[in-house]
Amino acid sequence: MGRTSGLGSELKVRVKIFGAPSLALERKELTIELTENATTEDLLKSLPVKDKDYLYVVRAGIRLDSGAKINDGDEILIVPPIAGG
Amino acid sequence: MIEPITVDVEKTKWVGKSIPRKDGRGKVTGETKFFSDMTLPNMLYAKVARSKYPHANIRRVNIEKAKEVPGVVTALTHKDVPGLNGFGILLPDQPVLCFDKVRYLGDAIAVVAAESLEAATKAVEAVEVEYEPLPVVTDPIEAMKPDAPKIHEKGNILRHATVGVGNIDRAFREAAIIVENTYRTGRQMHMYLETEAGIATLDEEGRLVLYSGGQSPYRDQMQISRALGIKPEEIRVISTPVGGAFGGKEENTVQIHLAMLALKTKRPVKMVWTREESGVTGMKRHPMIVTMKTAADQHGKITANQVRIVADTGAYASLGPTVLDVAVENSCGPYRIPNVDIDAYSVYTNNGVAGAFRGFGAPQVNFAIESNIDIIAEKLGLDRLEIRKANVVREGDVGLFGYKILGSVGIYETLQRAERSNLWKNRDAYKSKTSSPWSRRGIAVTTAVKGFGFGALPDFAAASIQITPTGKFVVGISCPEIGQGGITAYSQIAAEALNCDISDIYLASADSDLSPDSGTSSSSMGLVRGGNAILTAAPKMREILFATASKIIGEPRADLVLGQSLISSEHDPKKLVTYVDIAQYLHSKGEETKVVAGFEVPRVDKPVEGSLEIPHLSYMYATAIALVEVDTFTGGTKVLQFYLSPDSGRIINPQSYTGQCEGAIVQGLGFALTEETQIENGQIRTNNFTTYIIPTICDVPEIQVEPVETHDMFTPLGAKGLGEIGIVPVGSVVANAIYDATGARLFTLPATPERVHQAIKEKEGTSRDKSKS
Repeated sequence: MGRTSGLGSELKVRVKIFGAPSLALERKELTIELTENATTEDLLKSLPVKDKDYLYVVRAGIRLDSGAKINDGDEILIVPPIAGG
Repeated sequence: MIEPITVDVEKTKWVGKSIPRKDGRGKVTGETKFFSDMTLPNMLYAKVARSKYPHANIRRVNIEKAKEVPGVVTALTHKDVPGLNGFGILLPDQPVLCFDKVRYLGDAIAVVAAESLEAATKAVEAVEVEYEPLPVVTDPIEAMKPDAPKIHEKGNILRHATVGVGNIDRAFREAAIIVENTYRTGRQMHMYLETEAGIATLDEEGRLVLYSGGQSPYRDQMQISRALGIKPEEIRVISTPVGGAFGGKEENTVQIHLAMLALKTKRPVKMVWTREESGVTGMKRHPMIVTMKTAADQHGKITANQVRIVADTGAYASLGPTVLDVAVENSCGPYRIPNVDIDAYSVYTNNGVAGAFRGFGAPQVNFAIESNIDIIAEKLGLDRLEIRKANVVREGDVGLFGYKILGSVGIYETLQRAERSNLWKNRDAYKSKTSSPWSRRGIAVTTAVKGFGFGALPDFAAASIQITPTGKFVVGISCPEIGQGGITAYSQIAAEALNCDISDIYLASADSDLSPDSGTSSSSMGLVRGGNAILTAAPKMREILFATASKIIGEPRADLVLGQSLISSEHDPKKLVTYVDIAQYLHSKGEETKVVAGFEVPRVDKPVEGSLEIPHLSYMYATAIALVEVDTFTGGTKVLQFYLSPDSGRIINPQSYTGQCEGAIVQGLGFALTEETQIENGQIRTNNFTTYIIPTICDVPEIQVEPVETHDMFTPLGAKGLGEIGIVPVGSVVANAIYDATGARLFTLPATPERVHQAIKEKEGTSRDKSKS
């Protein structure tokens, strides 16, 4: 799982996945490696989940834009949009 | 990491004070313009062609005649949906525009945009649809049978949840008393003042802008983007002000249709559902059939509860799966019950669509558990309030499903407060007076619980704060103002955290371009989400203020102190800079003036087996007392007095707090006494105020709200949710008070005059039979 290019330094990111995407992956938490300057799009590309355009990438309570940079050591939530009561 | 600000609620200037609602004057005087009031130049009017059958295959759709109606600019069908032809927050199983079949009367088949509303109305009437009617499924119990006509290909059961704890069989064997009954509740409509409405337009760069009263601009943005196949950031959604929502505007209503029409015509397009359309098409509260078998020992200690729930979710999923979870979670009330066996279904029928509604599954099951508790108390000769005191959860208890309740627990204290209330202490005196010889009065007390937020589901909220060139602050929060007082409460919290006057706070509210994603105004959680996000962002803004002040004053950061809209030297108070000075410095130097921060709502790592969002870590609680008078000739019931003691944590604005409770109680009276959407063979008979009866000002009793303030650990303010808890006990307390008045037990809500009259007749019949024997 994850993506390593062999070029530049690597980022380790802890990813927690909720809802339907976690069912597809059959796991709810994983650590992935990304190359330096990776963005949320790179992160989503590295996950074999569907409907990536509609998943929220959340760090420290903030939903990240599609081009936002991922940092080494980040804890990221992958969340399908949820509402309810 | 910068820690959130913790507000000392004992020493606040704004938090905890009855600050007048910032949006109050405009709403009371009618000056506030809702989206249904709005017009734009060159605007078109949109209407939806809806299904005339509750269940049918579609053979053919022809929109040619609709297009020929003078004034019509465009007409669209399913072929024009560029992305996913489906919506639904949890499960997108509802077509944007139907193509193969319709599953309820309001299903959308085509949309038109025209130069006038009259032309649009004529055009939808000209849409030709060839149907092949299918058997209509209206009874959820029948719908569950294997040979029932299938509404969806996968079958009629949307969700089946089972939760078990302890040994239910042994508990029933050892019980001193077992009570088993089946309860039914009605299909309540939201009946907001403003029906579902909005305008979509393109800005000068051709980007889609949607003005629509929803409960989360970002959730609406996602659903539009999915249906239109465009990136979310290509859509701007503005969702405030909203003329009432109560859960009914959490789901997509007008948004996707408007977006399609605006993109097609390149002109502004407006759609406002008529009241009848809202009645037929809009969300409803799930009617539930709850069979509950409750056991207790001889002292009234509840030892077991077996619950069977069938929820009628109508034609599509919407939020049905999570409504069912909340019903499961609340079906044992706020009580310590060691043995529990819950089996619950959410079932598709052709009865409209049920979804989120204030209380979210809790009022329905509360009616069942609170009725069974009263029956047990009576059979054991126990006081109705004492039996509840003996069974409610306390601070630090392990909750129903084996999880320790981490939030504050004030339910016992609300019962104590209720016990000391004038209404309860003098109940015999209150009951002794009646307005006619054939009227009877009764009083009851019931309790309520409901989690706030999404429980075990992930939830997060962000806020932005920007200092303006004039030293004021713009706070970005995307939770819409739906009437709950959010704008004022957020301003109070921001003013407190930034030590400025509340008039210096402006809200950039519910605009996907101006406010970060703060989640939804739902699940009684808007204040906690937005308020916590502000308290997380405020320290970052303070850091900017102090760093800038340090540069201007020329003293180290550590030697500076925060004053009212200024920062000064600790040693020489005359050396100071105001927020205006700081703002001018920042803007003149082109330095950062805006911060964004967010927080994740705490949750359990793993939900209860078989559930989606159970458990919540923290809960709202309440105790309610109602005094009713029943006309025994007609069965008409009037609620004369209502007392509510809620535990919603710390109070941010006492005036808004009371208003929220009063609103919830009155809406609950509709659920308890009158409101029931009548559907016969899929046809809705009650789609306007003439046939669907909501409480008026004449029905509003004398209301007393007496809060118990606890401090919840999940927020620096200690505030919990509030919006829903007031409605949860209303049905049960009114039904139990009717029993206290007449001896007639209601097993179905609403307690309409016909049902009360029938129950009295049956009870009198039973009494006569007993006296004969």
